[in-house]
Amino acid sequence: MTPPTTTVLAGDGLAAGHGRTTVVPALDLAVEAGTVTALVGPNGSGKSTLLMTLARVLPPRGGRVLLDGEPITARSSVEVARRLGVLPQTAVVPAGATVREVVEQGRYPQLGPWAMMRRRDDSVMERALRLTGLLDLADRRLDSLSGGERQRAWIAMTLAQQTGILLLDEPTTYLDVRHQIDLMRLVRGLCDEHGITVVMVLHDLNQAARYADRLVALRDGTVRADGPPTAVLTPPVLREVFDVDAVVVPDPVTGRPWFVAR
Amino acid sequence: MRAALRRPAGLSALGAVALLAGAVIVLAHLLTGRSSIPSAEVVAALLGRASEPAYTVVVLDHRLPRVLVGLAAGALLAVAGVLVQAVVRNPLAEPSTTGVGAGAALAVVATLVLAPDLGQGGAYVASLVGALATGAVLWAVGRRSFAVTGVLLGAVLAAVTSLLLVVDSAPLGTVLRWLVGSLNARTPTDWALLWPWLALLPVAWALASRLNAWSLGEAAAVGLGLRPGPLLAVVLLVAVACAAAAVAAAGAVAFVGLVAPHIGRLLVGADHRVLVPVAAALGALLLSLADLVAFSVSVQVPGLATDVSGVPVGAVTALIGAPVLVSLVRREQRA
Ligand SMILES: Nc1ncnc2c1ncn2[C@@H]1O[C@H](COP(=O)(O)OP(=O)(O)O)[C@@H](O)[C@H]1O
Ligand SMILES: [Mg+2]
Repeated sequence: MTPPTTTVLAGDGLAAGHGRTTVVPALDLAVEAGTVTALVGPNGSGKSTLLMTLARVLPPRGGRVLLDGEPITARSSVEVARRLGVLPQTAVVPAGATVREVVEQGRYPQLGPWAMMRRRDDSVMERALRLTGLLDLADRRLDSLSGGERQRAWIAMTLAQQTGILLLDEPTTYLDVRHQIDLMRLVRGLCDEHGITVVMVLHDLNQAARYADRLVALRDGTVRADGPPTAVLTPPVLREVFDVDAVVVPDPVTGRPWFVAR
Repeated sequence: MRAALRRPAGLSALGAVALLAGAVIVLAHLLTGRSSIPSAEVVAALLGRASEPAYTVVVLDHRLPRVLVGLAAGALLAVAGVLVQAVVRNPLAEPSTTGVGAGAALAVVATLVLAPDLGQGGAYVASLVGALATGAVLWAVGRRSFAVTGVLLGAVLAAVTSLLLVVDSAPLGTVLRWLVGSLNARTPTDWALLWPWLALLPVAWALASRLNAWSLGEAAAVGLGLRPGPLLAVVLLVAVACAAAAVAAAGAVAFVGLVAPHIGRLLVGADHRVLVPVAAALGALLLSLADLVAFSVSVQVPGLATDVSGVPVGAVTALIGAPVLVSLVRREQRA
């Protein structure tokens, strides 16, 4: 028996793009509370464009984004930021800023610009730094860190927002295997123990199948497959979406689908 | 060093050093001049008890306004620099990236050519109006790519200014003050017109937490709940107003608005909550110190020592500022 689900974030006839170009023509997508969804698809298929439009970073070119069943535009941007955290694919490294100063910015939506005039170093920041393994690097300058360490700092900033929904664009980029696994387990734990809803763009399909409840495969801005990993990570879908000829076997540890290119 | 200076104790020490340096610079300004006045008489003049009325005039009407205008204009330029750099997220941006200085100069030249009778007051108003109008044009035309637009706008305005001066070179002497930047012959009126603008400094400071969020890039900033449109409008307005007030009082002084934020970042890092006040103090100290150099040189060179025609402080900041900037940028790259 499955418990009743609620849709926390949805695209309703959503069209997305940049400037005059439409990347995602029309898309309906409903994300259920307390689930992990992985967006997969080849480069340029519109994953980031879709994610940033769901996050109200890009204005929709048509249709609407619904947050908790209401148009996301009905709430002020800072109210949205208390409900939904975004990890963009490209963030700017401020010249000379330390990891702690970047993570501190995650507190902005909850505390507001006036409280943020005082230096923060609270338990929320501490927890975000700990969960991303950055406690030892907290006072290092971001521009002196490796790509993976920087990526973890951005993730820590997003965690410090303490939102019920997380939208992560390629969170495992630059991370070594150890930190990729740690991050995927962290995401799984946030979802299972705290009921946090996660939508993330992933390139590693085996990782997506192992840690996500649902895979959404995009190509040319349209959804080509959507469902649990067993329904999406199949040879026909891999061929249609990625032009990859592959075999799919159960992975030896969890029995989830695991693909190997032929 | 930086890590230590970021802590409250380090910041208090930094503040104490800045206050001390400021006091020394102000004293040096008050004590040096073409006429030599005994230091006891300088102090007495400040307290309104000088033995000769001439001392009171020199100290209160010439030397004091000059150093006060220098401190205030330096602080305003530095804060304008921090704000402009924050908006475009480029540490090489500066107040002149907005074209505001060029707009002020053009307005002054146009006024002096078309209506020479308006005199000092007219030039002041023209400078302010020109600077603010340039800011408005910048916002209307190029807020999305505003660094490029501002630089282009500045170049076009400077070209028009040169054309006007070719046609009518009479105002060249007066206008040089605005083009290069000078604190020579400042009067109590100049100070009275400038100090109310210092209210912009706390306004700029109040924007610091938003600037910190903005510095992470537009996508991350929107993710944190910032609205880019209104934020940029306010930050640019404050930056342009700071630059306009400084330029109207001291002319388009080069490099202070660029170098002060850089030194500030080297000392205390990128956090705008600390950087805004630290850069303001540094800008104040740098400009008044450079003016001390300018004035000392003027006194040394016979024939230069008249009130208006002394070495302009803008020449000193440009000569010193360029190599300082190069070494700062190198240090930042190495750090
Ligand atoms: N800032 C932008 N301006 C214009 N076009 C863009 C921009 N970002 C992405 N695109 C285009 O949109 C399409 C989808 O890009 P994106 O959503 O980033 O793909 P993905 O994240 O799936 O790799 C691509 O064709 C890309 O060239
Ligand atoms: Mg992408």
